Amino acid sequence: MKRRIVVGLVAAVLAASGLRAQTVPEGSQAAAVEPGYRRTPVFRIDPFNNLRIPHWGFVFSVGGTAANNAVNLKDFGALIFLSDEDSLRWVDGLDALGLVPQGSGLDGNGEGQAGVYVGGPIGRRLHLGLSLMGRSYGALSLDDDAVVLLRDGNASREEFTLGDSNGEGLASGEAGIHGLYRLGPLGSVDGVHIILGAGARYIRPVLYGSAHSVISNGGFVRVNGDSISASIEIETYQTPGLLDGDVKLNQGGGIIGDFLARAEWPTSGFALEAMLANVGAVSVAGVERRSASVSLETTDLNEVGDVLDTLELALQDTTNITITLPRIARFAASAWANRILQLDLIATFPFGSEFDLPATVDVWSSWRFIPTVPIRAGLVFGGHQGVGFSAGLGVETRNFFFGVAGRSLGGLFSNATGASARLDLGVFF
Amino acid sequence: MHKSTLTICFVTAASIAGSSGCEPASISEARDQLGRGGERIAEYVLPVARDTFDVESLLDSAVVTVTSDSLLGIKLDSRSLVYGVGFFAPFVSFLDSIPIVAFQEMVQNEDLDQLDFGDIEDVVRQVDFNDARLRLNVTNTGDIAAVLVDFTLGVAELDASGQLALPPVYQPLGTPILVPVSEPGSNSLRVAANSDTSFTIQGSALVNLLVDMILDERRTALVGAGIITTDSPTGQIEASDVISVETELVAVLDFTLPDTGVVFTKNTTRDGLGVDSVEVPLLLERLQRADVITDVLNNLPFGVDLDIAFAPGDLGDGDVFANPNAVIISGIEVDTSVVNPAGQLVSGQSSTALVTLVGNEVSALLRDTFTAGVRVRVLGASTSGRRGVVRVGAAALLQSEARIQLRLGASQ
Repeated sequence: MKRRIVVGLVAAVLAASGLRAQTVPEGSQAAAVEPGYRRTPVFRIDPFNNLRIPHWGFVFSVGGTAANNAVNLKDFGALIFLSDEDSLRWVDGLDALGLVPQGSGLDGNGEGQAGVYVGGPIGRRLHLGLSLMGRSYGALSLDDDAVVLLRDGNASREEFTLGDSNGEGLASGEAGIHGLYRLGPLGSVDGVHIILGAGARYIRPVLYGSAHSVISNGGFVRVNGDSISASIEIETYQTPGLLDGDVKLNQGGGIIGDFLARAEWPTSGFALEAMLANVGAVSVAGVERRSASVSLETTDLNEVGDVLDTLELALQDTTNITITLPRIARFAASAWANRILQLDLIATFPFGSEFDLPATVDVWSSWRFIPTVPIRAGLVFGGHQGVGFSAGLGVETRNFFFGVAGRSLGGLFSNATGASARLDLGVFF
Repeated sequence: MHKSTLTICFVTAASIAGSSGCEPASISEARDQLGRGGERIAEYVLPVARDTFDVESLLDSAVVTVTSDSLLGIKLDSRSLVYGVGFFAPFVSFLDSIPIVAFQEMVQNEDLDQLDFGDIEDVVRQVDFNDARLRLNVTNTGDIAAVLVDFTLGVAELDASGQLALPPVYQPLGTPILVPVSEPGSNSLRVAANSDTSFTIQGSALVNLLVDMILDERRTALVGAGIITTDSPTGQIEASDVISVETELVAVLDFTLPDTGVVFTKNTTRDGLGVDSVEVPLLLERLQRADVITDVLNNLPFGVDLDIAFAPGDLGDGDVFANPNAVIISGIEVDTSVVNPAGQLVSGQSSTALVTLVGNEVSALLRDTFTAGVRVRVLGASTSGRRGVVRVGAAALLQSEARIQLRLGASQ
């Protein structure tokens, strides 16, 4: 079903493009919208997002996305309610574990950003922008092998493992410089515009933490009617200020690169784009490495409690580590076949990072009944939650622009297992 | 859901459900929400106990002994009856049929720890030993042979001041029980000059009496009486010469049980699962079924019926079965092993006992501390006339597991 919808939308986009090429006259509404505004904003990292603005100015942005594959907003609300009522019990936790899909484990991740951008065009072809941002990334994965012991019990299987369970989070400050260079139109006045972009950001880690199993395959926990045995070792890395809020800014750093290539046919109303973001690595200095291990072989259930009571993450040493930010590759196709409607198909893929968010395909429709006031609605496929719904509103003028968008993932509104939001406010000189 | 609620929920999506719009109206509604994953039965299997209950471990290790025929027994430290023949007859060249009665205090109730039956004391109290051995070593330090004639050992009761009555009351509980110390087929025992002789005689009746008196906390002494004489034509006895009878008692664990068996109880204080008291009712609501399954390989020459009682808290040695909050589980049977007519184990017997616990029975196990009382009825095998002989290594292998099913998810 999902595939059918995606294919249909792609076909619609391509058909619309071809239709425009034949029927939309030059100077129509479809061609009149400022090209920079044709680049539909997304919820995840997009270092080139603000370079689209047509004039020099400031843009303040805040946004984020978070999702998981099990718990929706009403579930969170129920947990918070029970906790506030001092009525959160073990069985409530066991009930909630039933929300974790069998065979999948619990996965969740998110990223957030807030900051300011200043930039604008230099001549006809070059756009330059500087940014100061704060960003955060986080990911949590609890392997189904670890969940199943409590969720389903151990009557039908005896051995469990932490598997690939891990968690990682980073909060950072960054300063970036990005540029776009426009080529074209090539061939004719209606020919293709090629836009090439590149930039670099200096990342300064502020807070970092991660946890994973030291033992390959996650060690094991074996529980049966004879005995309980376990061999588990967990290692954590954390910056010293992670738990007490004592933030330090001199904790390493790194430069990462972002790249963009975009082809636009403005009069035809079609664009293709490819973007790589977060290419590079960041070092984090002064990270405390802690570990805790459980090695147990007992027939006495009480001994398990005694071991757990004495379990603590003991400081091992302080070290420097290098982490890979969530690299993404994004491919987009946009078509604005008539004066009102623009369709975007945006596929975002992770590649090689500790914080990978799963691949998603966004389908956006932007409706410009008033050319400067786009109303956006869309669908998102993939991720942890299958299908999501997006909506947004913009005001795009010569002197300022405003954009707000939200997304409900895995269900509508309170049934959502994820949510995204974005707010941009730009003021031009 | 009202449109306004939807709006609130959506707007607060980024802050992950902190809004009241996504919160339920009641605790039960919140629990229904968390149960939306669907009703399921989660079954947890946990070990409860895996132990080897060997008889030897139930006894005080200081008194445990193994006989030459690999039977398990309880020994009493050796004591000696010493008669100073030289003191009574110094420088006598010929001794002929001089009657001597030797009284020597051997065991008193103050020395009960010398005969400690450990955890099976209650059993011992209710049974008779079929096999109690007196290992005697008679020593003659004189230069002439000594002959003990009509020498017997017995048990006598001491008076309140610890003194032995003269003549001693050998059997305060009935017919006197005297064990002759003599060579087979004779009423005498000859010990050559400056030598000793060792032998073992049966004295189960005497030991049963001794044990009963000790367990009844009666002041008790082991005494010997007889005539010491000589068959040597000439000889000399010095003042320091003695005839001593060193006695070592070994009560072999060879019992004959009454038809109704013998009963003893034992308390154990254990830590529960430490579940918060407010959690317990909710857990019990979800309890679908709780079974404790115990597999026993009985390599003892007996069968066992068990009653178990749980009561919250540490009751020490108090009667758990009489506690008003106790949960009592009765009728756990461990089948009797295959035993030959002599009471010896032929083959062990495996059996499985399943006990299904209901709500209040489980709750005692969930709290911090509980006291478990076990009432054990030891039964003899009919094939041996209820007799059982405990060999070294005799044990019951016990493995218990709990299978707990909880109803989780929707429709609670």
